[in-house]
Amino acid sequence: MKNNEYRLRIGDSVLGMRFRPARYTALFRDYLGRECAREEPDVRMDFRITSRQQEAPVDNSLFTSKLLTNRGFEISGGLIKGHYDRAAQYGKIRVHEALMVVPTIRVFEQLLYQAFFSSKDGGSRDAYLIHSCGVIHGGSGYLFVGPSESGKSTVARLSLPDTVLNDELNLLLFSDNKITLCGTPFNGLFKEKSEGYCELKSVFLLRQGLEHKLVREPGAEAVKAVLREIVPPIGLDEVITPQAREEMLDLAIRLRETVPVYRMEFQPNRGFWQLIDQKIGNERGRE
Amino acid sequence: MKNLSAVPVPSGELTVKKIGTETIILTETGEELHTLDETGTFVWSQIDGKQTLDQMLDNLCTEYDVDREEAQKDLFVFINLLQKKGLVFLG
Repeated sequence: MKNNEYRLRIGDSVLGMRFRPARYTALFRDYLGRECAREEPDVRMDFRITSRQQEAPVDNSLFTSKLLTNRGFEISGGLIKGHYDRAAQYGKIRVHEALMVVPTIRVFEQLLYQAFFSSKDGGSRDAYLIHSCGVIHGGSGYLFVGPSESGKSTVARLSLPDTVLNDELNLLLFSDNKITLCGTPFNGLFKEKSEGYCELKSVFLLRQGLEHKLVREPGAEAVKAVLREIVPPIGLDEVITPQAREEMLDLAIRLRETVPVYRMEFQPNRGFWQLIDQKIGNERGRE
Repeated sequence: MKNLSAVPVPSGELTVKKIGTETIILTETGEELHTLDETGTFVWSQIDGKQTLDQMLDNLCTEYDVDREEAQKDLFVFINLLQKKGLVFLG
């Protein structure tokens, strides 16, 4: 780390973070378990970890609890307060120490999702984050989507020795006629994740069931289910607007139009991969 | 009983996207997301703030070749549902 700055790569973006007190820099690096990137950061942030303000309950969402103020932004009742200078791509942010301990540190990660979108300012927006489990199997990328407790971490665990990118949050990179699935460094429950990327082949809407079952979901219900799991594409100096929501809806539609979406029920054994191989192989044969 | 001369009007800032034969409606706050099937999509396409329920009923009967009395019942149920969800109001 140079000048006590931890550089975190997310897709092709690099976030630079400095914490005061400095011990939090090492703590956060160890928590994520990723080496410091060598590239210059696209966005830099100075975090001041403080306990000055009285501790308040931590909101689960750093998106819906965010307000813009005349000084910058305030999140979760003031547990996070900061300012982001878009031109300088620099943020100065005060964070209550309650957000720097496990498990609430996972909520703090949401601030970095916003920093990731700030790193995309000025260019065409072609990268989105989605709550999902991403797996590379047989040279193709598969995305398992669902809310908490739907089985994303179970799918990750059962998918080994395939390459598990992340069981909580993955990156989708859109180009003209394909989508690339890319892992992120953020922490889910599954710790044996690997770095990597691969062309996305299919999306599965997860539900634990009494048997392994795959049903193609071609309609609006697929869009609706995917939309719920897309991270709002807002930067550090933004809040969720109707335009952002429309962008998320357009993205969910584009995802459904580019790759097939299935509803998947599964039991906790690896048999679902046989069904996926069989079903997708059959559909490919019919094309 | 609704008045057939009433005009349904879409409420607020809704984001409406057609997906094949279906439709997704996102409310202004983004908190609620509604999906319409093929028939619902047809009826929604008629809700333009100008057509009366009577005119919509005519179009529905022509499009789906259904009995007018039955169609009227279904249309009223559907419009009621849209009203309850705050997606339309009757002008």
